[in-house]
Amino acid sequence: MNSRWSPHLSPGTRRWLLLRAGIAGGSAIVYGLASQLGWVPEVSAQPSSSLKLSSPSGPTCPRKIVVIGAGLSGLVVAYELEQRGYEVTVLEASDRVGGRNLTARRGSVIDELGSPQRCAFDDKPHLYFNCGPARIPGTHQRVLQYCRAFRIPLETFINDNPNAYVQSEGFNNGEPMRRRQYLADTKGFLAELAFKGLGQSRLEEPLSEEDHHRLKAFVQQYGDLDANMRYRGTDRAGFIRGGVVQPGVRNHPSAGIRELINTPYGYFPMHFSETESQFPAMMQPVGGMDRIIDAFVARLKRPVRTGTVVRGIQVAADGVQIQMVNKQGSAQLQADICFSCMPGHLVNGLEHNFPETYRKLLGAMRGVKLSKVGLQMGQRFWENDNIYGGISWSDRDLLQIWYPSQGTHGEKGILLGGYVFDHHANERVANMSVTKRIEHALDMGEAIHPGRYRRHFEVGLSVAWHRYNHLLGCGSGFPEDPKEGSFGVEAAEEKFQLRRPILGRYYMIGDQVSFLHGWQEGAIGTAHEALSHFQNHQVKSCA
Amino acid sequence: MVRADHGTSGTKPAPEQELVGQTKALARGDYTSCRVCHGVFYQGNQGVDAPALTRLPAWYVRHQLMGWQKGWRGQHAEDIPGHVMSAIAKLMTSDAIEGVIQEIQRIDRPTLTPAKEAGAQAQQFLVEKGTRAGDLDKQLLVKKGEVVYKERCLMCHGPVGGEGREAMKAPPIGGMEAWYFKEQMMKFARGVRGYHPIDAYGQQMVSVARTLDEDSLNELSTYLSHPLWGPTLEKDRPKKRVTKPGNSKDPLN
Ligand SMILES: Cc1cc2nc3c(=O)[nH]c(=O)nc-3n(C[C@H](O)[C@H](O)[C@H](O)COP(=O)(O)OP(=O)(O)OC[C@H]3O[C@@H](n4cnc5c(N)ncnc54)[C@H](O)[C@@H]3O)c2cc1C
Repeated sequence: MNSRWSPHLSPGTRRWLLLRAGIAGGSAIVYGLASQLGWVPEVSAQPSSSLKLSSPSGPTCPRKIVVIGAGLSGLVVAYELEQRGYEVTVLEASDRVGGRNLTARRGSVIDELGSPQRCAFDDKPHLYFNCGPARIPGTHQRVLQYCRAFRIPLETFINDNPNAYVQSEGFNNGEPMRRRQYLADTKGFLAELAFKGLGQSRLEEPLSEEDHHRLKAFVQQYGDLDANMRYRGTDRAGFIRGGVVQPGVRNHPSAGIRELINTPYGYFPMHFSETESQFPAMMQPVGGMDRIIDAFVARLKRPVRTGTVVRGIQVAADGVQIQMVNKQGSAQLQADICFSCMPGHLVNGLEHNFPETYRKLLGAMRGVKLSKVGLQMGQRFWENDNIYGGISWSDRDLLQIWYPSQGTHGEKGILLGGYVFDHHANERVANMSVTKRIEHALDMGEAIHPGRYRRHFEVGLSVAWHRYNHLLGCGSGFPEDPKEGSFGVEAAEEKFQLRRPILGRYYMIGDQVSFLHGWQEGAIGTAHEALSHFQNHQVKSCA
Repeated sequence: MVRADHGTSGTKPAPEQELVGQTKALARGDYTSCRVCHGVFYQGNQGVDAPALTRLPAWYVRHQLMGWQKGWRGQHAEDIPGHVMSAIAKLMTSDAIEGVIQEIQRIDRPTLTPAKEAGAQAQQFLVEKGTRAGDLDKQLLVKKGEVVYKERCLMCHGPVGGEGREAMKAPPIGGMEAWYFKEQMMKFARGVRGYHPIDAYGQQMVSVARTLDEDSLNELSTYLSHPLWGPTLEKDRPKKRVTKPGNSKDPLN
């Protein structure tokens, strides 16, 4: 069995990016400690509507702000400060604004080091691929608030679709199985087991006759068991045929629970959409995730200075000096305050005068490995297969196929043809040419949609974020062993220390220092926290 | 961008050799993408497994880039940083290679005064101080390292603080970061570097690495990374010559 699915690598022992449930206990304690020590700004991050931030009124107030990196958190800081009359300069190394928030559509450049590409999808509004962020959970109110305020049209993003497939070698003869069948069968067989255990539980827990009766009925419903408390299949698994003008013919149930635990699917993917940030319903901006970036850019008074690489940061008690270089040459910029969302693992590659402990903390950070493949399909064949949105799962490196939530019944469609989570799988995939990555994606798709996947494929692209120019990772993590994982430990203490501004003048922001790594909500959260701290320590007291 | 042979989309594919992003920059002599990993002053960044390049002579950088292009370096399945480097090296034209070599030789790194956290604030950062015992240990390691160097490295790499020996394709290793030194020695020992039959010098390193135990490696890395050979003294050392390519009889060139 593929190791990344095995129970030993369950989310508890290995921190998966995007997948963990919040681990509150430990960090809550560290938080208490850290705020006592003054490491953490004492204000918690707030949604923008309640963000208390005043204009620079007196002559000694800080006014000149530099933001390093036009990632979402940098743009939030720039927007909020500019709105209040600060003079904000955003410096962005890349020729493009948005950082990891990258939507590829016809003509887009993908600046992956070693594999630069230009997107050749057809030029149609629904034919885009969100290379980075793609989903907005209903719980991410900071992101959603900006979408509401900027009137960015949203539509439902379908993350969870039981009509999609599970496919893995050595399971179900290698044939794809509908997720709904897998879910129904596991519940059925587990309910059988639970019923057998009921007698035992009566001895251990005092259940009244009535309790016992109710519990039995509950278990029966849970698994859709027959009168003898046996699982013999269920309509929940869907019909092979019929069900409208002919009687429905049920899918045959799997052989038993032993068959079902024989695929990695049950260990983690089955519960994927129940993890904290993956719960339905989710949203996406109509036309691509970068609509959010566009909305910020449109509202900035001073345009982002793209193609401008920050090379040096010197923090002093009275301000921050920034060295930068662009096509015009190198230059210096003096600012009162600096906010930076550039990835932590790249910062020690600059010339800076940060305190040694701070440098060491940065030195523990590594770029998180994450890759995607996008494929343009000439026909939306999956719709004929009852699939509208959602994810099919494989046990291969490329792991997932996403069916688009947009462009329903339209012409053509963009599939996510692979989304690589595992650390070593990401190393393998990044080491392939883009052509080869696409080949692997097509192999995986062909096993799930035999005879149609390859046939309808037209053009594709791929992004390995750990190789992306100026990012070299999907943000930065604190791994225990960088050779075995890039995301690593939660690192509460490290994050709190890094969030504490150097000399009160240099703020590190971005989801990398939040507890919501890999989510825009985390990025905005740290931006708001930094702004609140700035307000309380620099603005309130200035005259 | 990749296209199916049987594509039916009726759109034109992007030209295969179109220069975009980093390749476009490289073509106009902008080597920013090299500095993203190796540091803005080529000072190295362990966070992305990238060594300092400032201490390396032109002939060595040229030779290794060729290795990445031709596949005698960086193609071993376990050489993860090597994979990235090969992918990029393969996009570099000979102009880009010469250009970046020039830039590495020219670059001037500024010195900055460390930000001092005043008063109580400063205490919030854990202050790390070398202990006396620690200093003595280190001195001993340096001494021992010097002995190992003279026995095992000197012949090919030349005196520490020198320029290495081009004839043996042996770079100067004085000033090499300890983490990078250890990493490379581990790679040689495991055959992750020096795996290709054409890479005779690499194979020589494999046999050397296999005979060095952990203690010697520790002593060597402490000796080599000692600030004495570090970038601080760089400007006091004789200026490196930028040698032109093509004058070598090396079969790898
Ligand atoms: C594959 C993937 C999937 C994701 N999925 C989701 C999702 O579904 N939903 C969601 O909400 N979030 C998702 N995220 C996370 C989301 O992309 C980030 O949280 C968000 O983009 C915020 O990023 P940031 O503000 O930290 O800045 P970043 O986007 O990390 O930007 C950093 C910026 O700094 C710039 N920079 C670097 N060096 C320099 C320099 N020397 N000088 C100047 N500028 C420099 C970079 O070019 C870049 O623009 C995903 C990310 C990835 C990669």
